[in-house]
Amino acid sequence: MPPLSLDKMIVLEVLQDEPMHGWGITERIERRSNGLLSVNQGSLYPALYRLVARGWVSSDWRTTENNRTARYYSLTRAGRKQLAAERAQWDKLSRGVNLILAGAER
Amino acid sequence: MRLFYRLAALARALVGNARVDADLAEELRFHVQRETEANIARGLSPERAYRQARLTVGSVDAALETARDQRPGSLFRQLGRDMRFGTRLLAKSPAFALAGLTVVALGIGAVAAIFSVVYGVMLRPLPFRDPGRLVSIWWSRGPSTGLTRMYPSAADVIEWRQSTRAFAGIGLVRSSIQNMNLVGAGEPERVAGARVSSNLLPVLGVLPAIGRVFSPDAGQPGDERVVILSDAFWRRQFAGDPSIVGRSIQLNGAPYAVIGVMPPEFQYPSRDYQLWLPIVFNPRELTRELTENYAVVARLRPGVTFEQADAEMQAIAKRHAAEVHPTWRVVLEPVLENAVHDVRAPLDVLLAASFCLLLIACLNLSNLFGARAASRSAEYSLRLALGASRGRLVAQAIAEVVPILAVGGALGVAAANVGVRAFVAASPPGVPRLESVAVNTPVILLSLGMLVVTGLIASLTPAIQAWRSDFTAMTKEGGRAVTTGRRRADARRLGVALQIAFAVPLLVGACLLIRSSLALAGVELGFDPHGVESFHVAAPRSKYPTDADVAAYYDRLLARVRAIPGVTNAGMVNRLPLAGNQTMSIDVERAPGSIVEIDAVDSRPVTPDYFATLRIPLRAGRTFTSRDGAQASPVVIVDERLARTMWPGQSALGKRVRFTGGAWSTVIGVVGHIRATSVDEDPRPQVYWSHHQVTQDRMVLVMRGGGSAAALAEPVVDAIRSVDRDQPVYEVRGLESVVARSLVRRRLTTTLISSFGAIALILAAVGIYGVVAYGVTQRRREFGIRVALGATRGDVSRLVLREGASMALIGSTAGLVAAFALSGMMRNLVFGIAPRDVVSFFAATLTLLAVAVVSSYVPARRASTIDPAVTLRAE
Repeated sequence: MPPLSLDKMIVLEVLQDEPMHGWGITERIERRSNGLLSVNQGSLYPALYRLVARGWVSSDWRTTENNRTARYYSLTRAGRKQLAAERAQWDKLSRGVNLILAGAER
Repeated sequence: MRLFYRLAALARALVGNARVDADLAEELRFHVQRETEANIARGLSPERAYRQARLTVGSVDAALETARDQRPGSLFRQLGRDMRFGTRLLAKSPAFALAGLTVVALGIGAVAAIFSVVYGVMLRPLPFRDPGRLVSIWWSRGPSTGLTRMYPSAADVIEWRQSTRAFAGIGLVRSSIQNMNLVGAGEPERVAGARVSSNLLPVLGVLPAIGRVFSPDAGQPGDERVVILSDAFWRRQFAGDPSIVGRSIQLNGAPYAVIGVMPPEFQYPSRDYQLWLPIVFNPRELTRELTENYAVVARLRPGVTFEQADAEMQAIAKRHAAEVHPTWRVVLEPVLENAVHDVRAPLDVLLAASFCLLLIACLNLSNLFGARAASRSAEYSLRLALGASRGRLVAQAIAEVVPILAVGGALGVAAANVGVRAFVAASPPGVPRLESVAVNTPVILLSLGMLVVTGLIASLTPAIQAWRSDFTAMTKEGGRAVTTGRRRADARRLGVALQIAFAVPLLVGACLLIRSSLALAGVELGFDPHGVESFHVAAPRSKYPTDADVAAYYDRLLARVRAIPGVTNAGMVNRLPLAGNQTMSIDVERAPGSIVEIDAVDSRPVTPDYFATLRIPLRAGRTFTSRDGAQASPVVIVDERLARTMWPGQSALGKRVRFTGGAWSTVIGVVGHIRATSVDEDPRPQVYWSHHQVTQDRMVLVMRGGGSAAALAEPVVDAIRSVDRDQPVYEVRGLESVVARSLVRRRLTTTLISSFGAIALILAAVGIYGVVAYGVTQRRREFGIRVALGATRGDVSRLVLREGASMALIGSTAGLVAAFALSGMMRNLVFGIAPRDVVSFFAATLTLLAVAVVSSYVPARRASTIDPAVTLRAE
């Protein structure tokens, strides 16, 4: 099974609609998962830097809606491609796991 | 695109480290703020809201630390940190750092400087199109005569042009300089010009930067007065004005049309030449009644190999030599080969010597760092115990080497740059292609390569020691072990022995050269250069059309110079001794009817007072007088060698000699033999002609002054100018400096090799001292016990001395074998001794052994003063 990093996929997923700053990302993840997932903020920034370093995410400083400056992260083209790949992989994996779990129930 | 982002991130991370950190801090601050606001919105008090927010984010510093490692280029930052750490450590032990820097700078500097010269002179392609297809053509009279590079004549070349198919073109350059007196605004100036065939530039494949090449008819009547200028001359004399092409300049009193200016890199046959003029052939040259010498350069026809051309030329030359000179052979040689054959031997030796020195430096450095790593073994174990990986330890051990290499290498290349400039300035004319010598890209690339190799060798020992360190080393080596780890000590001793082994050939070479120099200093020149000043002058034919005019002009000059108070003698010769060859072939009448041809004698037209001025003794007969004029019966003066070999047991006076095929001249005097070619070679006898009977345009005035001849130089120049104010006077030089210049190349080689030898000796001494002294510190306990058990102080110091001596003995034995094998390289450089001169080998070895004993003596003394009570209690 290929290694899979959920946090990477989730961050990419969250960024795909619009550029966001770090705090926005944590909030969005919590809201979208109905509070089921919470982000360890201490590891969010290292993860973001990793994504920037891989070239999947780019960052720039912008003004927020209430006039403060924050660093916004946005998906690059390579990031989008990567997201699609990760999603496909995830689909396959989760289908497989579901099938196995379903078989065990029977 | 993605690559771009990654590179951009890497660049940001590497360049703006501080800014990136500040960005991250700012980002986290923003995060905490928003979290605080959100908490407040959830109903927490501001204070609690902030604390909560800080907790969820975690320590900002921790995040910074983690994020830093996640950013690209963390490996580089790691290296940078190690390097900074290494530099800090080095700064704490400046003596060690200085030693390391000196060793690297010496090694790299020597190689860079010598390689600059070797590359510029021997390797750099000639500035011609496809220079590998160019060959020089010579006559050889056979290796036994020493005359293997004789200039062909114009008739030869015309014959070859007609009968060969191998060449696309054959060009000629007259071997003698065409002196042109340029009369213009300032001081009259003498300019060296080369007479070249009209096809020479196309053969070389070089075009003028401005203007055109010679037309095929250049040199024919009506198209004789055209000239192409060198870039340097054009810039100096005409301020780089391109409109000079098409205008006329005054040379030797006649107008010459400037048709072109060559590019700056075109310096042919050497950098001394400022003008190129077409050859005006004398019709008698073409019928072989008269022989002018030409350097011949030919371009191979496309598809023809060097061997094919050589074979064709040999066949043709054999046929035509049969008619002219039956024993001669034709010699083809690649142009570059021919340009550098004189200097190849010394340069090869110098290059080998510089590499030897670099190797010694590498080994020395390796031992230096090895000893340092050994002294840090306790620190290494501590780090290991605290969780550092072995890889990190090795990285740190190497990180100390890198700053030393970088700074030392830069210092070395900078020193090489200064040294090379000095070398070029100090070099005599006649070292070919010196103009292209500089510390340039290939030299810097080689230096970088050498630095990497040096770094690898130098880091080897410390890296191995760092890797091998273990937790227990702290307690073992630093603590109570009685003797040093065998292996480690052996590696260091081997390093020193190798250094000595490489130093031996250097020292032997230095001894050989120094002994050669001493032998040269004892050579009897046959003339007395002390107190003689020389002045070059040239009589333009436009002003002095006939030989009689020229000779009369020179007589007037001499009369005026002799009238100067303080001048005791003044004479003229067409070429000073030791300032280049001037040879002729002559016929000698040994007995009536028995005529012998001598292939080459030194032949010089002189004025009567020449011999007195140079204090060349008159052995028999008389010198020339004013009565030996152009109309009088031809006379000649021969040297004692010719007299002795041709007419043994008889007086040479009244015997007859002539230029081969010319009119007979009677011997009226016999003078002492002098060193005319060079101090270290004495191949030929000498003959002298009266300057009225054999007249030359270009002469050298020699003047002996009572006290200091140099002080009279200015009045002499004024006197010459007072006869003809347009007369350029050039190369004003003391005869002693002419002699010195003839030895400059040899002296440079000797100086360089000797300084390499001295440096090698110092490095070897430092190496021996370091290892022996280190051994003594390590063995204090052992010595203490020995003394406590009854060993005398003498026993202990002998033990230490023996260690130094054994390294020196092993090293010098290996070195002697190497030096013996390499001695063949010195064959052409030694004078008066054999290349395997026993004295030199012996002296070099003794010097090294002595240095080894002296360098071990200090630590040996220290060992002998060890007080067992103190040493044993201290531990």
